[in-house]
Amino acid sequence: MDDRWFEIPGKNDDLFLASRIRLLRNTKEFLFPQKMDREMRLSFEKEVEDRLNGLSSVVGAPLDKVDLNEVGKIEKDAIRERNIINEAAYKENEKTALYVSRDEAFSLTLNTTDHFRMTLSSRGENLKELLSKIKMIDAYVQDRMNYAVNDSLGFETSTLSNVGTGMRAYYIMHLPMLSQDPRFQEMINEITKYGVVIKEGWTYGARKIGGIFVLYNQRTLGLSEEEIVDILSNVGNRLMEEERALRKASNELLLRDRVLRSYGILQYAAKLEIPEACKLLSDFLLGVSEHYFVADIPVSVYELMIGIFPGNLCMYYKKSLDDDEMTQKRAQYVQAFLKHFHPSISMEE
Amino acid sequence: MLCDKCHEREAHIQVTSVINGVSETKHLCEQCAAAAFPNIRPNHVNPDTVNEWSKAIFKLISDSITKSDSGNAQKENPEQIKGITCPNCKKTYGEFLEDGIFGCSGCYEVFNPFLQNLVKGLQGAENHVAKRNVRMVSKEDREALKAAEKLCADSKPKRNRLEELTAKMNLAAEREDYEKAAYYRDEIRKLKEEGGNHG
Ligand SMILES: [Zn+2]
Ligand SMILES: [Zn+2]
Repeated sequence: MDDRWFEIPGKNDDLFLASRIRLLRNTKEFLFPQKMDREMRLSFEKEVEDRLNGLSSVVGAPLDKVDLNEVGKIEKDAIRERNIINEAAYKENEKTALYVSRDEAFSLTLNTTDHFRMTLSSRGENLKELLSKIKMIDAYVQDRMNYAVNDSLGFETSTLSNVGTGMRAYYIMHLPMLSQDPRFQEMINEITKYGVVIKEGWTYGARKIGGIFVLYNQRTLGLSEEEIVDILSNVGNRLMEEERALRKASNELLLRDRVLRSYGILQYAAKLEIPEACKLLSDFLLGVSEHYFVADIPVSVYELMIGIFPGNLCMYYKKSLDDDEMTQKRAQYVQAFLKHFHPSISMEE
Repeated sequence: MLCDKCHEREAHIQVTSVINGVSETKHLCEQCAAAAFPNIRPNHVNPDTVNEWSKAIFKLISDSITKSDSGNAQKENPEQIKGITCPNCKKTYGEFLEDGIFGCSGCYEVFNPFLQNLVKGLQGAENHVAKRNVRMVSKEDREALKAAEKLCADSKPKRNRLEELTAKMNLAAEREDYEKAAYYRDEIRKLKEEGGNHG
């Protein structure tokens, strides 16, 4: 029942919906996951449990072991939509073991492509803090698990595409104005030159709609972890500045029309499909960020956005939904959230 | 950077081929790269997932490199190279060229002489920056990090806990999540009692 990471406010969290760092590590003491049989996986899991029994105190939150075979499809879908597990763990869950901190900020998956896959997330623009924290967690694990490391190639991962730091750093950003600007494609091309990948579509099942982008480092070799985070922070900041400048320079009437029109549809829609919900919520969030609304409860944008996807929607209503029910419940879910927002500007003006 | 083939979309995939010792790097967009592998779809969300797509890209690179390697190396024939086997996990270099997945740490040692071009093709760099000392935190830094960590925790925004718990309780009740609502009610009671004891 602790606050989950996306319920705790962060710096510039109206644009930076989330920051996340993911590390891949392997130990020398066991064959890598591809070559492990069942028996070996079990003995590896046991070793991890024994040697890392103090992990939760380093993480700073209680850790729960989640048995992906036990949880059922809805919860498994929900966990994947929330980016706690990746596709490999979703598909081959009988081979993996998952630990998640009570606040969902930290996750450790064993035996997906690599022995250890650790992620740490937080709301807002927070990669530097995440890096210093995950470094401590990594040091704790390295002291106990005898990592496979290489003088010239760094951390040995199962594939060469992750070798070196084994790290990917992510920002999830909401850029509703900038992404509709004619210069945006040009900016993306520029950003790609710095080795930063930027893609629309930020979670499993999200379409390329609504102006939410994920940014991450393409290369894991040849740059230090700090350099990777610095580059991403610079790019993220630049995008934020451009987005804010566009909003400032925009026609107020057009902006207000866009926000309130979408708000109106959201409020009265009897059913919502994912793409339409993404688009309308994007406009609504733009309005929240520009103070067109006041809220009477602390609201997490990430939570709101993630909640429209099937797994999380079913979790919210605690039952499985067929397609028709899904679109209806999605509308109801959004409306339950919107009740806590009140337009802060006169509508008759 | 724009795709070298269509010159329209941004290139996310870098393919380096080394032919007769001359290396050439191409940057392709996913669509153009996918045209070469029609049965495979890229995974947009999780770039850390080994899927058919990443395997195909690896294969594209390894094929072009193996061709040039066998052209250059007179002393060993390509079939011999492919037969090199990791004594620890029994993976052959030929198998590795197919799927791009290491079987164990030992593979890194055994296949090391052949990895350089592959690494360059995939990463555009040859070496990790932190040579020799491969760990993110040295033992001495640990204390400083702990202090920094504490600072971060202390500076977390503090909200009015009571108001927040009340709002959450109401929200949970609205959602008919009575278990959660009861939990918040108890937390509120505890908080009020604590307050009462102090004042
Ligand atoms: Zn192209
Ligand atoms: Zn091996």
